[in-house]
This record gives sequence, structure tokens and C-alpha cells, in this order.
Amino acid sequence: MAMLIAKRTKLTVRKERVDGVLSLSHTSLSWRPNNPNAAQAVDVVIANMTAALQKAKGKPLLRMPLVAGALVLEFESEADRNQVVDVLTPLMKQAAGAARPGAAELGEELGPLAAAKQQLLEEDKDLQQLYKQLVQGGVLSEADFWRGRQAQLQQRLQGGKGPSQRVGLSSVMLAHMQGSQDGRSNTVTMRLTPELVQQIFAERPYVRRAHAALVPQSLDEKAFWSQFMKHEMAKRTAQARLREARAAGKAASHALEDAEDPFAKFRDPEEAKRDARRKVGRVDPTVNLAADRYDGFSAQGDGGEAAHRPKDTDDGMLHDINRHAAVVLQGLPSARALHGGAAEASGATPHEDLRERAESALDDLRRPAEAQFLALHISDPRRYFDSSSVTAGVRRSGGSAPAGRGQARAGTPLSQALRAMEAAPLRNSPVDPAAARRVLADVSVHRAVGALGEWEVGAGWAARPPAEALVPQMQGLLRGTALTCYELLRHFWASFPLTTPAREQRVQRIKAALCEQYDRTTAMQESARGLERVHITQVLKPLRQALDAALSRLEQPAAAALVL
Amino acid sequence: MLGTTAKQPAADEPMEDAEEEEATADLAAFQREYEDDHSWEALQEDEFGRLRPLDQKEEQRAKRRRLLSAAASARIRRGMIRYLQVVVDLSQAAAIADMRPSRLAVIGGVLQGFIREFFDQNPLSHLGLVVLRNGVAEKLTDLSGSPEAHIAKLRAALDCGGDASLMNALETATDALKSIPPYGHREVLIAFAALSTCDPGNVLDAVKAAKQHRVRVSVVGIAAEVHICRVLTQDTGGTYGVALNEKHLEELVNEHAPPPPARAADAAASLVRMGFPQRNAEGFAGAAFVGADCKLGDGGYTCPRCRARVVELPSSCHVCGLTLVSSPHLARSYHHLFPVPAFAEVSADELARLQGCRRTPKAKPQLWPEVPWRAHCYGLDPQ
Repeated sequence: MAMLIAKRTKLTVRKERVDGVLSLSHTSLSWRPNNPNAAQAVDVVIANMTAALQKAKGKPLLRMPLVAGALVLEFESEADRNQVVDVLTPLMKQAAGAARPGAAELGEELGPLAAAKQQLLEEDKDLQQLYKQLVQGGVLSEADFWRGRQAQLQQRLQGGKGPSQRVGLSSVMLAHMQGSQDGRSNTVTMRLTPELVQQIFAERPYVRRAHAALVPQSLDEKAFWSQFMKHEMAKRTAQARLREARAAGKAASHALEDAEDPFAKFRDPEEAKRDARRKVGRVDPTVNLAADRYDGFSAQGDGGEAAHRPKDTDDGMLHDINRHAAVVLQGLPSARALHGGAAEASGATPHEDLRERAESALDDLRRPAEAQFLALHISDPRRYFDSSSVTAGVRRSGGSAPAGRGQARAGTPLSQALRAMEAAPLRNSPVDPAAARRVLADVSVHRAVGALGEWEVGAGWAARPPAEALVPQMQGLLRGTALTCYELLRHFWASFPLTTPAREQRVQRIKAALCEQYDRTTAMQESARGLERVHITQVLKPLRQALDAALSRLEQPAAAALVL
Repeated sequence: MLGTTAKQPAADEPMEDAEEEEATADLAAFQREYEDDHSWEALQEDEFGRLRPLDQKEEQRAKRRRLLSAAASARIRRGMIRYLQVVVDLSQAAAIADMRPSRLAVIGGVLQGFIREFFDQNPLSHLGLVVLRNGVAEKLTDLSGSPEAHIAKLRAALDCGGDASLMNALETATDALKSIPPYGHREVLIAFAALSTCDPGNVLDAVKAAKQHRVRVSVVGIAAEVHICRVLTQDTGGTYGVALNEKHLEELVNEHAPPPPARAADAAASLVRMGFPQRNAEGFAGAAFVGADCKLGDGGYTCPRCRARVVELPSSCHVCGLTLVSSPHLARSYHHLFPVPAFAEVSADELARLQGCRRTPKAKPQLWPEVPWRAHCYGLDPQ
């Protein structure tokens, strides 16, 4: 019930102009006088305003015909009045449209759903034809028509992809930052996407600060990022050189030549310490590293191996890696705020989380979960194989005994008869094969020709499939009839069981339409002549059978209808 | 014994000389070691022309496993109306060529065979395909009952790139399985080739959601065991296997073709209404508008309730929604309701003895393998 628009207006009451305020919401319109004693307030529901609004040319007046007389409002300016009319007219139309369910027009609805429907109708001619016939003919309502097609609509709305899937951050650390080098020229090209920029800002806060400080003022985007990339590449080549030198066993050259870091002044040396202090607060208190210190497994108590480690390890790189891991696991801060706020607020304390994680790793200390299988009980397996043995007095083999062995011992009449038979004297085939083949050929010819009845003379020619025999226009017409019939039947069968009066009304409307289609098919059959009539009858027969089945379902008494 | 090649040492290349002498010495040592090793003669081909694996222990192990599983699965309730979503990992990891010719080609072939096997053993079930590519999960086909459509789409979609995301896969699969009737068993089979998953949120939430919707997720790993897959399958009650080679991968995937044991929560027995349509005549006498898009053709089936024409079985009627099956389809499910008991082995000379006596099998059941009497009709030939 949000207020859409409010304008100062004057209302003429008993030859006096009273100041007041007109306010519109989605469903109602109201006018309140500034001075409550001067006049009465007016409240109107928009749905009741069916007549058109009248505007006066030249004067900022608006006449709204209501149920109990008309309301004439004077606005401060014509622009005001036009604005109100612009807002009010679609609301009136919408309200009017909602009151008449069957005849709503597509064009009024604003929004992506209507656009999707329009698109679907334009693309599929069959659908368009069905829509014209059924919805605009008043048989089905718009909602009914589109209810069965929700999947298509949803797909159209989302453009093929799944419902709003997000892509996670890649675990490979900023590998997209590798430029591609053209062998011919001496340049390295790099593509920066907004997501990549977000990730760089999340992992390296000093870059974000530098960007905020430098970019609009002293450097432009391109220059900023080129500087950044140059520094990265210089760092990488220096690291590669250092690694090679160490691998070849030569004396490790001392610290990396610190190529001039253009953003050095934005780095915050205290940041790492602050981060570490914050993390310490979230450590699982049940883990006691000091107790395991001298076991020889941890970094400190490893028997002096620390001395062998090269002194010039790049702590910067370790820090980078850890930060990258943190960003990937927790997501970008903006994404986290959007999706993770609820989880963090309602989740357990971090300590319980950590404890759960620690316990889950010790699988072999817990009993393996036994697979719980349900036993299969078939009370009388013979019922599924041999219907005659149920009536014969056969010894029952019990509830859970295996079916196979029971049957081998029990003597059903059939098995006894089979055992009594001797295989040797029986001939391989009971009938002469040549005779059997002749009979089969005869029968199949009759079956194919049987539909023709008295048209024996034209049998050969009429036995062409209707797809060839009928002209395309006729086929199109018949196909349209078939589509309509099937669509009506779909809605018909979907309305059962008849529980609500709305369903019963719908079924009655559809029944009328089905009878009409039945008559139409009869007329089509009667009006055709000659061989075409045969084909048309043939093609329409299953449709008429389906219509018959539906109509006879309606005529069934309610008790029998319960079965289906 | 192969001859050795000797080279004249040049006066000005002492370094290379030493290396070459080493190489020839190595070669001579190798030849001495494997002089009498004619292992190529032990290779055998099976009926398809493929080489048989050399170790006998593997085959015996497989046989023992089959016997044990046959004994254990004798009287277990199984879920026969299955709705399975197959998720294929088409990320960058699928392009690695450690399985010949590449993981992608192998998994494509295996899945095509699996789809046919699945519909063979579970004719009443439905299958759908989802692919993981570039960090998102795309639905390749909807849940349907015809194998050809799935195989054609799978063949067309076999190109890889990007990352695999288990969370998106689980969400897509669970979404697609939400709208199935309550008597159906919901399953997801993931063929996972990557070693990590690249998710937009917490993947354990997606696992919890799958468990809530009673979806049973199984994973077949192609690269190596990944902890999150283990957690996922254990939580939802599925199985996790990692393939050692191409043949093992095929076995692991085809293990999911027979219906799995039903859980207590899912196995509430209910009556399912099904229709058994009649087949229409081929040729002129059966021509009509068939199917939801009304193609003029012959053949097909007629739904017994609403008399609409349906293209193929098993499917559901496009007009009234009734599940339509034919009785051979239903009879194939009997295989799981009434499992054939295990055969007992008979050695070759016992068999010869039996044949020599010309005894019919029914007369002396204790010597003949224990088979149910019905199997005699298509059992061993007494001649």
C-alpha cells in the first residue's frame, strides 16, 4: 500500500475551493483537506473507477467520474495533473483487467514475464494458434494456459542458464594475471575483468588504497595497472632467477633486488600483525601446540632443521598465499556481505566449528556405519508368475522362503504336465512352415486394407500413407484441430478430481468446447468426398475416440469415477 | 641377442666418449637381464580382440566379489523406480591424458554404455544429464526415459574448460529432482575428474540440502580421492569409488546400473497407477497425429485412459499424465524382485560323467547345478 504520488489540489465543495492533498496508492485514491473542518475526506478504490478521466484543456482541472457523482480536482499546474493522470490510468486499467479474468490482454502487463510470454508466442506458431483459439475464445483463462508451460517460461526468463548460479573464486592464485606474449612484438597483453580487479583488491589491500589515492588524480586506470603488472612481472622474473641459482647450487644471491615498488608507501607493515592477532583469538583452545613442541613433528622442535632452511625465504610470498587462501575460502567481502551475513549471524561459535572439524578427521577411531538393509518380503511369490495356481490347492511355501526352490518342488499342474511330456517324439514345429507363411501374408494384407471397407477398387492407391495423400493445407487444418483437441483434453484431465467449484466450472466450459470440436470433426468428415474422405476419417478417428473417452468420463456416475 | 653398436672414439671428444660408453654398458646389462624374458607370448586376446589382463589374481578376486555380492543381495528391498541425475565433470582436469586417449573421451564412452545399461535394467526409471563447466552447472537434458536423446546430447557436448563446482552441481541436481512423485528414488551420480571444487559459497550447505531432500549422491572419481567427495557420499548414503584404470572406471560406473538398496525412509510401499497401452497398427491403418507435437505418422501406442497417441514406451501420456509401460518392461524388474540364486560350479569331468549317463537334469537334482526349474527351459543342452 505504498503511496505512489501526492499532489496538492483544491476541491470545489459548495462553491468554495478547499485546499487539500490527493494521494494515490496501488489500490486506492484519497483526498484529504488541509483543514479537517472545511470539507470531508474522499476515499475511492481504484477498481471501482470504471469510467474514463476527463481532462480540461488549458486549465489544470481533472474530472473523475465516480459511482456517487463526479470529483473535480484543481491542480497547481497542468504538469501536475498530467502526472497524476499518467499514474492513474494504468492502475485503472490493471484493476479493470483483474476483474475480468478471461479477456485480459497481454499488452497491459508490464514486466519480464509478459515479455517472455510474448516471445514464446511469437516464436511458436502452434502455441500462438492455440492461444488465439482457446484464451481469446474464452474457453481457458490466461493463468490456466500458462500453468502447464512454466518450465518454458522460466527458461526464457533466465536465458538458458540455471537459476542465478554464481561462480566461485578460482583456487589458482591470480593465474589470470599472466599476460599473453606475442612472439613478434615485445609487448605483453593482459586482460583485466572487474571480477579480477575485485579479487586483487581483496587479496592486496595496499593496492586498493593506492588505487583509491592515485587513480582519478595523478594516474589513469591504464597507467596504474601497467605499473602494477610491471612490478609483478619483475618480481616473478627475480624469483625465477633466484630459484635457478639455488637449484644450480651456486651461492644464493642475497635478498631479491627490491625492484622499486610503486606502491610501497601504501603498504601497512602493521597489518600483518593485526591480522595475526585477530586470528589468534579464533584458535581452538583445545589444541595445545606447546605440549607437542619437542616431539619432533612441528616446525620449532624439529631438531635443528630450521638452521638448514635458507634464510632468504620470501615471507612476502607466504603471506600472499595465505591471504589468497583466506579470500577464496571466505569469498569476496561484498559477496560475503550479501550471502553470508545470515549464516555468520546464526552459526555456532567458531570454537564449536573447529571442534567439529577436528573430530571429523578421525574416521578410523569411530565405528564404521553399518549399512542398514531392508529385507524383501513377498508374501506369495507365485502370484506374480502363475495366476492359475492361486485357485489350485497348492502347498504354500511360507512367507520368506525363497521363491525358486519352492517352485521346483511344488507341483503346479503345468509343471506336472511338462514333466510327463517326452521331448523326443515331438516335432520341432507343429505346423508346416510354408503354409504358416502363406496364412501370415494373407492376414496382414487384410489388416492393412480393412479400413477401406467398400473401397476395394482403389485399394492399392488408397493404401498410401495420409502424409502423402492429403494436401498440405488439409494436413495443416487437421493438425490444428488435433493440437486444439489435445490441449483441451490436457486441461480436462488435469481438472480431475472435481473438488472445487472452480474446477467444475472449468470442466463445464471445456466440455462445451469439446462438443464443439466433435461436431467440427464430424462436419469435416461429412464435407469431404472420395478418397480424401477415407484419409480424413482415418486421421480423425483417434481424435474422436479421445473426445469420446473424455465425454464418457464425465457421464460416469461419481462412484465409478473414483476408480480413475 | 641383439648386437651392440660400437663407435670409434674421437680424440677431441673425451666427454662424449665417456657418456657413450656408459650408455652401451647399460644396454648390454639390460640385454643380459632380459635375455630369456619372452613375456609377449603370454598375452592373450579375448573375443573382442582386446588384450586380457595378465594377472590371474585379479580375475579370481573379481569372481569372489561377485559371488559374495550375489549372496548378500539376495533378499534386499531395492528402489526400482529411480530418478537419476548424472553429473559429468567437464572442467580443465578432464582434458588430462592420463587415461588414453584422454579422460574426457574415456568418460564419454563409459557414460554412453552406462546409459544403455541403466535403461536396460531399470526400464521404469528416468535419467537426466548435467555438465560442469567454467564453474557453473548446466542442465544438458531433462529427466526422461529414452536413452537415445541423452546419448546424442552427450556426444555433442563433450568439450571441456574452466573449473568444476560441486556446490552448483548439487544445487542444480537437487532442484531438478524436487518435482518428482513421492514413490520415486532420487539419485545423483557424479563423475568427478578434478581434484578441487571451486564454489561460490559453503559446499556443506548444499550437501545438507541434498540430505534433507533425500537425495542419494554417489561419486566416481577419475583422478584421486577427494575428501569433500567422501564426506558428501557418506552423508547422503551413496558410494564413492576412485578408478585405477579405464576398465576399473567402467566397472565402477556400471555398478550403479542395478538398483541400489532402498533406505527405510524412502521405502514406504505405495500403489502406483500405470497404464498398459496397446500398440497401434503400422502402415495406413494406423496413421494419426502422434505425440505432443502432433506429427502425422503411424505406429505408436494409445493411452488406455484418455486414448491419446504416444510415440514410445516407457513414457508418460502427454495428455493425462499417466505412466505408460509395457509388460516386458515391468517383467525386467522381476529380475530384482526375484533374484536368481547363485549357480554352483561343476567341474569338467563331472559334467562329462553326467552327459555320459544321459540323465535328464530334473531326475537327479543333486548332481546338477541348483537352478530354479524355470531356468531349465533355456539352461544347458542335454545333448
